[in-house]
Amino acid sequence: MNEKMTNSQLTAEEMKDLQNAITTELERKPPTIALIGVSGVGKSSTINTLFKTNFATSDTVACTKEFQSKDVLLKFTEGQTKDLSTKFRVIDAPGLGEDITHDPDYLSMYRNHLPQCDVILWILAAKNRAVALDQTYLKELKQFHKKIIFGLNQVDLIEPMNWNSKINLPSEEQIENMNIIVKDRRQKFQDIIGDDIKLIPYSAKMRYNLQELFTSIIISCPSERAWIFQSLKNFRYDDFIPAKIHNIIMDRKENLSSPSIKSNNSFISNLKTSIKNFKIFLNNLFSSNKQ
Amino acid sequence: MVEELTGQEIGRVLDELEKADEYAQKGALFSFDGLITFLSGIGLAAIAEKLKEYFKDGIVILIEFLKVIVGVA
Repeated sequence: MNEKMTNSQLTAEEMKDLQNAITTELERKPPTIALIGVSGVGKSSTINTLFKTNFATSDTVACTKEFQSKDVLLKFTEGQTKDLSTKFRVIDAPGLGEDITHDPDYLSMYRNHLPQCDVILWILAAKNRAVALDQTYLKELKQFHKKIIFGLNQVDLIEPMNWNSKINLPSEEQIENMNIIVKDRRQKFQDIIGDDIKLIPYSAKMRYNLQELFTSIIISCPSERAWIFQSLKNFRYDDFIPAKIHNIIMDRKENLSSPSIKSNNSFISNLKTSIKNFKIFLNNLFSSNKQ
Repeated sequence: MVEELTGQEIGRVLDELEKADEYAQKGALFSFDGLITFLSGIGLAAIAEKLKEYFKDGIVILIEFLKVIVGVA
């Protein structure tokens, strides 16, 4: 086994310590995300879009009567890690307000299960104006407010429903309405929480604004756990661009000479250098592991 | 059709792309700081320092590195 790992100067022993530390942490507490929201808001499809998983989508009739903890297999689909896989845990909560007779039991279940989660993704549907149930539950779950981020899904269905499919972005009219909805929902939930909230408009179906949603998930995790979630990322931040215009957009991006793009070029240049070093690093890692 | 893209539409995609890029870097940097905190907290501060040095110019590459570790764990 090589004593030194290229310029990083991580010894083989340190590499082993690092891997053990990460493996132990993953076994001790797998990355866990809770999904909350009324039926039909797209909880499963959100997970599937962010992580390219096959988390079961809900049936026509909601059937989750208890918290369900499911380990989801994630297979990386791109880059150096393509075909490697890992697991994370999704806690699927019963739909809010499905049956008023069960509500006291549900609240008790929420209180028992939510402490295990690193982050709670509370999903709303953009077209659903009725948020009284969400507000009621939120009020009862005060101790978890800091772990919660709100996702406003299905923004592609916002009136006048004229999504710009050429560039796969909302129309100007939809953006205007989206901003009104975001402001309204934010106010309604901030009044309950008594503080600023993170509410991210997105569309799982159209892959719109996934990166902002994902970064919000990361930043809502306890800092010492955020890297675990970051390592589960399984989409590209430019996934929203339709394939047939991808080259045109990237060419235009390269040709732009605005300061922000220049600064990005500098970042990319540094990245390329690091990629080269990283490949050497990986080769050494795998060759030393085989010995 | 591709040829029907207007300058405004291309501009909108570029703006969206730039915003997404900024969020991607923000998330990666937050995670990196968290990893350093985690490693330091379990007595692996020396390894954390070496990772900081090695990945100082390529935070996104660190994330690929983590995927390897997590993926084989």
